[in-house]
Amino acid sequence: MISTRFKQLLFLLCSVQVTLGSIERGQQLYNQVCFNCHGPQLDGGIGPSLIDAYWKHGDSPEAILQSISKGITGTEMIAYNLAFSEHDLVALRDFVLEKQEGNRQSLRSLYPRNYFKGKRLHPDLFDSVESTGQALLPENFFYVGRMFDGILRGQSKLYIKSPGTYRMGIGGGGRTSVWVNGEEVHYTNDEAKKSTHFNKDFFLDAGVHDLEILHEEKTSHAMKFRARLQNIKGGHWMLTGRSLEGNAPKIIRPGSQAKVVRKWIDGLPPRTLLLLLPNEVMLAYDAESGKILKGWEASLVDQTPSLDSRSQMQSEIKGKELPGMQKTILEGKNFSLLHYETPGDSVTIATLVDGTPQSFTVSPKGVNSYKISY
Amino acid sequence: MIKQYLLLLCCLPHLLLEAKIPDGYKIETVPLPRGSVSVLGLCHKPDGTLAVCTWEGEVWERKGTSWSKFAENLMEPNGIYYDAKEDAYYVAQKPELTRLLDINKDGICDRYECVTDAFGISGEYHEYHFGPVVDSLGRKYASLNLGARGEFIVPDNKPQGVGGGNMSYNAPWRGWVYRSDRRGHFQPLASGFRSPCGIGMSPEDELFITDNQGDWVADCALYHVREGNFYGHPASLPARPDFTKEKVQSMTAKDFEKMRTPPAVWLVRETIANSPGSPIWDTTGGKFGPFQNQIFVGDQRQSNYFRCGVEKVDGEYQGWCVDFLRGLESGPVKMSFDPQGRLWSAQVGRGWFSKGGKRTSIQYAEWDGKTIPFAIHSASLNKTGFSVKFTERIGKKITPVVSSWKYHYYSTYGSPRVDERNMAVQNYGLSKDRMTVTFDVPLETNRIYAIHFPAQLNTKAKPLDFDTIYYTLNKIQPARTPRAGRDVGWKLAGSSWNRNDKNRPLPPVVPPLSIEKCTLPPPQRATLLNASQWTNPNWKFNEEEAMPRGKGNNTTVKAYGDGRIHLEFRFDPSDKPEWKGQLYGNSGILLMSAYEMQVVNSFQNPTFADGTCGAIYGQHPPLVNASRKPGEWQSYDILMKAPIFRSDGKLKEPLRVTAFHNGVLIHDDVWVYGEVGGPYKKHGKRPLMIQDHKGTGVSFRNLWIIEDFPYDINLPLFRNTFSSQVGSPI
Repeated sequence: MISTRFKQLLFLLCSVQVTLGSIERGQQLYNQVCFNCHGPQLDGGIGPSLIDAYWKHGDSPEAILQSISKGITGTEMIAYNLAFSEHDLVALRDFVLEKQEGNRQSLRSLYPRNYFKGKRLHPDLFDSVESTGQALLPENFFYVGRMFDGILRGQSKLYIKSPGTYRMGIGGGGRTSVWVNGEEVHYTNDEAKKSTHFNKDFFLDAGVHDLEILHEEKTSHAMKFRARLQNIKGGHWMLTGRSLEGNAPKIIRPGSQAKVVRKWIDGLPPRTLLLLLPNEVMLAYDAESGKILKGWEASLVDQTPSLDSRSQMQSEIKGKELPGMQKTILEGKNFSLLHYETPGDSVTIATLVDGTPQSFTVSPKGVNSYKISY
Repeated sequence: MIKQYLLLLCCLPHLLLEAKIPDGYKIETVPLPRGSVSVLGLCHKPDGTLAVCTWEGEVWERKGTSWSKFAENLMEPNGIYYDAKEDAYYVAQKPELTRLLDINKDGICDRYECVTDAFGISGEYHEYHFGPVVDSLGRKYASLNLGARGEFIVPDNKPQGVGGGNMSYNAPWRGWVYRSDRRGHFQPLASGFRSPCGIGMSPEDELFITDNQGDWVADCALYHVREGNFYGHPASLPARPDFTKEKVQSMTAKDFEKMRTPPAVWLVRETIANSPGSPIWDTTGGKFGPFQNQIFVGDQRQSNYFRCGVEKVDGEYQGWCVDFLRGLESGPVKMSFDPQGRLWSAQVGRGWFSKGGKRTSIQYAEWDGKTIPFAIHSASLNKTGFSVKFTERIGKKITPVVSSWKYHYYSTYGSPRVDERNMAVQNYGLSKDRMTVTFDVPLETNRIYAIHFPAQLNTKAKPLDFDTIYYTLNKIQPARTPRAGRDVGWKLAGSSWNRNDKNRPLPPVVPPLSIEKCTLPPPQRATLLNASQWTNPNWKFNEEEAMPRGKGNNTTVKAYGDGRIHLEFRFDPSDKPEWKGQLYGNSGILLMSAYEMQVVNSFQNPTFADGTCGAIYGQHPPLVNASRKPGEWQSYDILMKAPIFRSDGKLKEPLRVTAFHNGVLIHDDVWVYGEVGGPYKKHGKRPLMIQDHKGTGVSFRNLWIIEDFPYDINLPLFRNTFSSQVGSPI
């Protein structure tokens, strides 16, 4: 039954006629309507990003068309089949699809371990056994739950834009077999006394390819398996990751009111105040030294990586780093943060400097700058 | 780890996996605010508004059934408290204890105040910050988790990964619990915690903490926290001035065993708890059923609520735990009673698997007001056994099956039950009302007793939901109950010590600064307290300009309020063996004639902690003992803020003291609880007083005061008077 479903998907994919004209029309429509919620660069706003790895309502060509046409109940995404013709809906879908890159349409099936004992992991084995659970994953990478005891089978599509030589990067132990377009490109068998292993480079043209990952996970507290698709010229996509466990990605974006964001960011002191101004400028202010450490334009804070099970990962700043943002705002030896407020478009911070309370206000200036007033 | 898990499963026939809600109770689930990743804390306002804080950094308020966002962009607030007096929320977020103020009352936080960030964070993800809870004086308490990864661990010579410790001390004060009583105040209280996720304050101002089983922690535990004590995990010891990292790593479990305070109640793994959350006391006055004043705790893994109780045996708390309710949706971590007496919990399941299975939840338990569930109510230790109380009359008498075991104390992750055996039960007795069972059993200390009533029914043939109660037997009843100390009208809220308690740990001995560095000349605006400034003619200045202690207390001519005081003192050396302890050079500096800073020789002359040289007598031992020996001059530098009284005579703000002894900090902005001999009584400016006291001689010199010296503004600079602060951690 699984194979049939997979073949159905394959058929649908092959039958979709994506023409250049369709994409152009989609872009035109996107720039008129969709960008309001999903951002001019498709990276989200009021609505979710359309170029990240998280697709709550499915990312197959069919699912995307369904989301556009029928809308998503309970959200502001209306049924656009009321506004557009079928031809235009397909064009929008083709446009969005053309922007996609990486691992997509991740179907995860789980199997009992003992059926595969002593057998070399191979896709054909799965024709004769029922899975214990199957799901299309909203996050486009594979994961298993805590203390998982069994075989993971991941089937997905690889959307490739730059043709070239690729290889798999596999880590974390456990028997693994990886197939691309029906050919085995990676194998690790650590069941044998001497671990057998090979890792073959393979060529991928621009387009959509089939990926199948078979893995026997060693039961542990957290999934140890790591899989990555590497372009030998540089760059990679993670094929495994940490589930958001039902959450949606969380982005902190600039708004009409200034924000002060406290998140753990790589390279910044953990007590940093991130001042996110309405003109999309963000400043990293170190209250313990009275200094601005860094600044960014067109910025936001992506909290999604830290939403996993124990927030072992940091949040990330997205934006273009502005040079020369370092500045000493307060002079002194001992600093102690008193409080901050965000009246309107500015941030006011009060600090004890060598025992004396001092305060300053940071306001947006122009498109990529700020000003300080005392 | 998985082997132990399977083994326990086989060994525990009572392991109950299905939901069990006691008769008369029901559980309701509340819809979550939009975007909640996990709800980490909750509290109620007096008007019934529920406030929750979430993992992703938001605070939401629920009025009626609608949610509105109050604050956002915090860093993992792990607890929230509403202070009705201040109309403000307090959250313990990772980098700081924060106060949230809605100044314009529009339902959205306008001001985010940093109450304290004096503790360290390295950024390591496991450095959680739990709390706050509050004592009756309005002071906040919170706890700090160790890190999961880092360089400083205490392996006790075992290889890492095989019993060799794993939680690390990466930044100052991790693994400690602290008090903060106002902005800028940070007072570390006790060390030795690992993952002190549960923090609670009893109605009697006693601080309790639950910790999680792990390295150095044999099983989940409920601790009664006393200021200055050490609770077992050695990684937090380097914060103490008498320890360095090298010293800690050279010590073994045997050494730490001598210093640690054991749990009041072991929360037995698997049957009761695996990751307990915060304890809360049933102060609903009967609205939540027949368990008034008991302690309710939720377990994050077991998805249950269980009940605990403690009693003082030979001066220390110990007690029991019994399961209460199972089948919650996720893992409770924080609890709150609403004004109607319903027990709410913030529940989180991610990361540490919860039986309920859901990622997060908010649920409350409600009692119908009449149905008494048939349950084991509580247990108490007798001289020869136990008495166990039931909530209803029991039917047929069932002799309990009693077993006991003990735990190792070592660096390995958790301890198995050691020397587990059945204990012979004799002399079964049943009270007239058929609700209390007593029996005799061999009592061996430092053991956990499992008291099991198999198939015990009540008079209506109803069985118990949970038929085993666990009692932590640390001590047995002494022949004579220790005498209660003298009651002077104030208690050490949150510290849990009695005045002049001989069991209170002594301050560590540290080297003083040289007298050259300490003998500060009076600045221009100071008043030199020479002969003309004192009223008692029995105290005379001699040729050395020193004033020996004379007959009767000595007071200044003038009255003072806020002030900065300097004085020096010297004890007459004595080799008479009878003049030791409190008799070796006793006097005292009574600020405003009523608040005593102890003067006594504490150089190699031990005495009780809050009677040591420099102590706020009966209240605060000095942070360290920096005494010089008799015959040498010593110094006090004191910054004091006079107490402020309301027009009705009640106290508005307490006396505050920051002080140095021989240039070393001994009090950091401490809250003085009352006069040395009684509670606060309204007064204005009063003279400085030096005490006459029985004992060998002591002399004073170089006494001066800067009067009306504003305390708050000058405090940060005063702290740096000697440019070094012993007592700061590494």
